[in-house]
Amino acid sequence: MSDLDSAVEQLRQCRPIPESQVREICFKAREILIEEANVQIVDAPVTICGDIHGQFHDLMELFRVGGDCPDTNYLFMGDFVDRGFYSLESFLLLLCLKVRYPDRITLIRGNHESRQITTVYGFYDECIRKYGSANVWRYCCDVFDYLALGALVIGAGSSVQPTRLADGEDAETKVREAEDEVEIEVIGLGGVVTRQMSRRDAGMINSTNLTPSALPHLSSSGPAGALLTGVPGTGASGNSRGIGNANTPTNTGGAVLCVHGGLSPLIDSVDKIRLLDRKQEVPHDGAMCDLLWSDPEEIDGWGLSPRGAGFLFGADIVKQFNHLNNLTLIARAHQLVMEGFKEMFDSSIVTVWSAPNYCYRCGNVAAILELGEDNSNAVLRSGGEEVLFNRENTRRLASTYMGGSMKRGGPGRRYRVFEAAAQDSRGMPSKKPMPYYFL
Amino acid sequence: MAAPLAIPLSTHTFRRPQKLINNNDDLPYFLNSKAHHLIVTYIQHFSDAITPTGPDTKSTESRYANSPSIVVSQSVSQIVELLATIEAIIDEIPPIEGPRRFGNVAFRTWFSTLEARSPELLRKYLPESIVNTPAKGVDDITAVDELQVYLLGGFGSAQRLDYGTGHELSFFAFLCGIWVLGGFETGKDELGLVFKAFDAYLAIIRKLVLTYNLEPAGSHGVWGLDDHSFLPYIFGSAQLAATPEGMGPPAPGSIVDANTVERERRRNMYFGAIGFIRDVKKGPFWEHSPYLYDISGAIGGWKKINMGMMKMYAAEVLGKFPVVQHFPFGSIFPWDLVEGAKLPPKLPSTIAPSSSSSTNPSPSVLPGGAGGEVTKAPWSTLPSDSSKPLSAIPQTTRMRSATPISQANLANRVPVSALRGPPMGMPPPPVPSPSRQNITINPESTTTVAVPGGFAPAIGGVAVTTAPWAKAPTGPSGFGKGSGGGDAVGNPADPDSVAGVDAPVRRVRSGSVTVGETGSLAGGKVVEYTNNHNHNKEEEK
Repeated sequence: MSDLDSAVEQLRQCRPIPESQVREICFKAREILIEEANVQIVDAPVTICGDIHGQFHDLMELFRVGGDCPDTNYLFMGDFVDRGFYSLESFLLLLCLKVRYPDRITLIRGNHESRQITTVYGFYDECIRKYGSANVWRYCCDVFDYLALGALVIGAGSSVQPTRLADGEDAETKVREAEDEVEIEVIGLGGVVTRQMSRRDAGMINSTNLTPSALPHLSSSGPAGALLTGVPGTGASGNSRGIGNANTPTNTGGAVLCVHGGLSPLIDSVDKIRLLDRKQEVPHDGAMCDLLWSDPEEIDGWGLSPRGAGFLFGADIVKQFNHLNNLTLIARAHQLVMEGFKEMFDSSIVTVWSAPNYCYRCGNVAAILELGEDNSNAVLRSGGEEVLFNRENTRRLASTYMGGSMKRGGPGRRYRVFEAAAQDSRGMPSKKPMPYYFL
Repeated sequence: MAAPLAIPLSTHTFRRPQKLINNNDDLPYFLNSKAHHLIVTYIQHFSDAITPTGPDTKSTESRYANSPSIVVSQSVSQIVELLATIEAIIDEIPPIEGPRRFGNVAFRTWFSTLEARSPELLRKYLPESIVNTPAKGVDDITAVDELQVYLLGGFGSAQRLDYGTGHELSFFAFLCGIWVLGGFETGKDELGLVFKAFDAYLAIIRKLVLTYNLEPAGSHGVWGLDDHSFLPYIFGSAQLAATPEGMGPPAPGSIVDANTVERERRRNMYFGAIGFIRDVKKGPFWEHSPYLYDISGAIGGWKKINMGMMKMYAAEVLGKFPVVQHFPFGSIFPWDLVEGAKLPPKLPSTIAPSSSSSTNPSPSVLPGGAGGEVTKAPWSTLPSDSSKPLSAIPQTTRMRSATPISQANLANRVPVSALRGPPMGMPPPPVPSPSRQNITINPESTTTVAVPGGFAPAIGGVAVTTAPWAKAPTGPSGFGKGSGGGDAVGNPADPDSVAGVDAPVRRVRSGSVTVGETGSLAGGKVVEYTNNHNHNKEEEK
């Protein structure tokens, strides 16, 4: 494994590894990925990340803010490559970590993890430029075909575990009383808690006030790492967080579905995703394509996507899907959000975006979403898949919750917001051979 | 190269331009069309015209954009005034405050305002000879009507809130169209048109991009030449192309020097474009703009760069379906083959009856095209409404789908990207699943522009990816009328409706790469290298 560790080390310094090593790692990664389900089951705690797009230095910033792998469990929702300058280093690092710590990091497929898209949006060009041939691009594309299409996070707690501050003071003193659980916490730039919402407040949240608009965008990010005395994402404090009293059951028994794009009109249950044959290039249409390409939109039902692939889907679609599948939340990426994350449709779906100052110019901040574990819900955690996805059982659970007194209940969600990494110290490289037209 | 002959106004019949490039198969036809020839000829003509006549500093300075020696004729100054009027609309319509995903929806108001005022503006500012030409023929289309389509196509996509080289092409066609109709004088107006009119246009675009946060349409991120523009690199390099290396004017390598860029950006279009990049992007130049950085090391200096830019434009803009697909064809830019053109064996199926097709439902004025850093499917031919040619044109670099090899072979003159030769055997677009027909599509979603809360629709984002394989959707009619609501999935219980389950695995055989060599702007020969790296992917367990 020392080869692997040295590869990780080299990639962490943003230096490409030799072609032969890429080949070897891709081969090993495929062996691991092929065993994974289309919808990989992931236990909370886990930190969910959106698009990276080759922004290597910002990926390093993400790890700094969210905790290193494997100390923190990660789930990346695809779009590792294209557009950025370091798609290769970013993807290979994540892949090495996957091979090294297969249970600590989950990679699912984005619409850019595709041969056709990467030839258009840059990753192909990047590989040619960095290796002089398309071999590495080919190895990577072969891995893309084996990435899972989605993941299901189970066992997430219903409230956010207290944030620990740098001086060891427990931020819970600032947090409301225990029975008034914190459903959403936003940690803005510099590691400051900028917003907390109790479950009681959360009922009033709508899509306009749910973005951390109060973030001090222009403030310096500061050493955000300073607050990481506890490892974010692992969040286990040992406290048992109840799910409220019996009269107002919160639907925290449900799972969080993570998928790159969104829903498909051809998919009405998570089980149907499991039936797909995913080991192929992303098709131009159909269920697999939609999962990677669709976007939520303020419409009723389904709409044509201006992207030319996938669909637009409205709140009714999401709510029905979540209800039928006993999901409390869908986490997806795929769309730039200026504030790094955006919850929509009464918090039934969230977009997480992890590429700050996208394309060097968008001026957006990035975010990651931490789901803590829930120690009170052992049944679902151990029962896992079967309990959740036995159709009959799902229906029964759902009808119970539809009794009328059901309180909307997403998992406790902590969003960590971060800015682009400082870029001053990167020296100027020698010019590469001219693009063809200029020879 | 002399400018092409003018169209005789008195006898000419104008036509409403319409979109005719419907898929990749139509590209070879386009590349041999009179319209293509016209565009290429004009770019070359302007580039030649603004190249200094001698290698001396004085000659070079005469080609500075702010040189006092540039003659601005009445016709040109009218265009400059037209653009100033258009620019002023930006001040009328401030961006909407409040949370948004990326692009500012106030741009849609700006665009519709321009659309509403443009007939009047054109009548006011276009040369009288053009304005006074009466309509002829059944369609009752005037010269102004025809030119208006190209003007409006030049200002980005209101639907997607983006802007790219396809839009730039449209505006360039607008200027060329006026020229073709005799509005400008060859040998006299070239410098004024490029340095005053086109430069004013670029200024508007930059202001639009900054004001409304327009996305780069179809951005390749760092792996493209520029997020929005291309022509300033051709014209700007032409301004310096007569200067031998090491003499007077700035060396290509000085684009990374902030002081030089600041000094030159007002008078040289290349540096103007570089300056704008530096304004909007943070980070090391070589990292966010690696192509421009590499190009700045060109051996042979500005002349070499100018020639390279021409070739690259032919291949990466005119030769890319996602970019040119929305270019409309009418009487000024005709969809006819040039004489002696070697036709691809298959004629495009798309020489369609001119008026709107009944399958195209969208009543709205959604400028079509693809957008931005939002990733769009490179195969996408998305919304364009042929009944509304106005909306048809704006096309930005969406996903540049590299021209599939099969087409390259068909068209023996397709300039194919050397930079991004596609891997051989890209999967053919799969046959659309029949079960799709049952999906209820909410027609609103494809027609509504206004978005509550300023939350832009999917495509408004930066770097949205579009699909390279998408067929032009026929719209809601193809899906049945939307009832909205939750019963959207036609046959959820029907196992056949799970498309993709039984779809054959499309394995891409990577191996062959086509490298195009464009000998000239007008086209070139294609060199195909085939490496037999047939990749055996049968490793499943």
